Amino acid sequence: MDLIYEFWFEPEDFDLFTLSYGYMVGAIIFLAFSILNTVIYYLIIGKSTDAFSSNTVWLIFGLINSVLIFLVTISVIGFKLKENTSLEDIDIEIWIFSIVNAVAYGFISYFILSLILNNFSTHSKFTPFNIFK
Amino acid sequence: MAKLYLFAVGGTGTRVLKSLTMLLASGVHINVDEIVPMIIDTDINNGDLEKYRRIHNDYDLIHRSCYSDLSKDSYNNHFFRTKISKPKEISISGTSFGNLMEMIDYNGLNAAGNSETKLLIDLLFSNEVLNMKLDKGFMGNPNIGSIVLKHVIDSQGFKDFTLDFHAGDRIFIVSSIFGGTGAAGFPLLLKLFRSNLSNMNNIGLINNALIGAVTVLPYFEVDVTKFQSGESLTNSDTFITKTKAALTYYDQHVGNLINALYYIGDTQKSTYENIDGGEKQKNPSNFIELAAALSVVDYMNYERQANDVNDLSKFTRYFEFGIDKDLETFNFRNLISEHKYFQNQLSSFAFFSVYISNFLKNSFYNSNLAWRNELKINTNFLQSDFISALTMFCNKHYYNYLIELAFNKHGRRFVPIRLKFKNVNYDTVDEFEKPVTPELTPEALFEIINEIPARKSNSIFKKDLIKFDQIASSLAVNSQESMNGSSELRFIDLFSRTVNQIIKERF
Repeated sequence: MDLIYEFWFEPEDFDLFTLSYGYMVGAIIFLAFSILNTVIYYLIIGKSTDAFSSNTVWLIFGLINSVLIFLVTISVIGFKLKENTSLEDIDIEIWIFSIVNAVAYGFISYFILSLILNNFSTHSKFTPFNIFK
Repeated sequence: MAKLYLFAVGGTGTRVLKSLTMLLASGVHINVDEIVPMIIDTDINNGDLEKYRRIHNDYDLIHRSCYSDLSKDSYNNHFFRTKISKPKEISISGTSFGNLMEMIDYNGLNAAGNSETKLLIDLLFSNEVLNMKLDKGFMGNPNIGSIVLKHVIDSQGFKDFTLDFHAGDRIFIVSSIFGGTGAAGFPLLLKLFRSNLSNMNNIGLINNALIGAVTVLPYFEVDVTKFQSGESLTNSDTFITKTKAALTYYDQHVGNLINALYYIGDTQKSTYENIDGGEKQKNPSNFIELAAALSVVDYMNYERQANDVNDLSKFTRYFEFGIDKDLETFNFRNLISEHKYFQNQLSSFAFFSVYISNFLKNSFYNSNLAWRNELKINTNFLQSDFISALTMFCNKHYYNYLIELAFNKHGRRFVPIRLKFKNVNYDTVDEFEKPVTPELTPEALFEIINEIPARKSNSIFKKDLIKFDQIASSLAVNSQESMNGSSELRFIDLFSRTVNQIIKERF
């Protein structure tokens, strides 16, 4: 918990630019992938077939979303932004940031987008549930 | 509110009514607000009538759940759309007369001055016929029917009919020409309706009403050995002779009274067990009866604007029915193109029945199913009286009906739908006691309509399947049509459109 707290609220070894840039990149990653996944699930697949319109498949899509967000976050922040060259070099803070970005923010955004976009779907309109109907 | 008073006379009349009910259940449109069946049969306990009572009860519950208080022109071609009132059973029950001897007070003819009448009666009726109990019909003896059926006018059901009759209502009589009850009943009823001497209610309206009839020529035979051994009074060897005599009579006495007369018959005869009425008399449905039922639909389209006989362009017209080829086993392919509409409706209903028997339950346990959520139908719906009646109708009555049409002892078997059931014997008329589920694979769904396979578009990436729920969900989500009325109506409306779309896309 201390590590997470330090990373998000008391960064001592990051300068302000790198920190806010990292947040922004993380946010863009989870938002982009959540939008992409929900669009594929609800507006492409969900309009043509009901084969994937179940809570289980929806959850699997959510997990895939999180895994993708994690991989991309660690790649972009760990390798590109922090300029590490191997996995061993990546700080534990970046690992935790990527995990939180994927599991917490990624899944929450996927969940919220699901509740919005399912209204525009045909077969997945009630997956996982519909708050407007 | 125009009504059709449908007089179903005798066993054939009831079975034609059953076929008509199946047609109307499948959404065949008939140009009338309500059909009022008037069943005339002295054998009130016969198996066919009892079976029809159960069919009608389920039909009526489904119809009332969906279409009560709706205007006539809405939801055309939807399943169970036409109202069929509770059949009025005109009970001139034979049990109240005993036998013909008692009815005509034969013993009273021994009194002085009646000897000539008695001799005439002896000439017309044998001792067996005079002593025959009248509670099981007239067993192919129209000479008895013509006497007994005169009492029809005194029955409460008939009086109700005359009181209810309004301008614009029509009358249609269904009867066989070769039996007892029907052969006697048809000309007698017709004369009664056209007679201005009668003291019936609304006599003026009934006199001028449009009257149609279908008369069914011999299409089955019964085991004559039972007649020869004295076990039965029905002798099918005389059916043709009786038919000829009746046709001659009709030619002279019916043509000037009737407005539309449909003749239907078959050279291929079915063979039924020789049963003298009662609950065991359950003859399997025959294509002839289905064709006769089509004549009722046709009749309501005949001179559509005519309210009474004065509006007709020609007083009497005669109609016949034919199929494309003379085959012993045939299907939709052998119907002529004019019958494409019936074919589509009956095919739709077959798919609907399959959905009810094989898919509905599973669909209801899928909480994500779009059509179910969109229609706001919960799982309690599955336990409702409506679904029970629907299941009984589609998965018992309708499946039994299809099996009966394909009965092996029919001279001409009609096999329009191919469904495989466990423990079905096409040589007997044993019927399913409860709803059944046909054995069905996803591939077999494409082959349901006999010899007319559904279009399939398989590819190496995707196997084509007929997906009821997927189509229903698309229709439910993309149109608001399904949102009106009761949940029962929404359900029937959605699935009428769903199976119609399947038929349109695949056939």
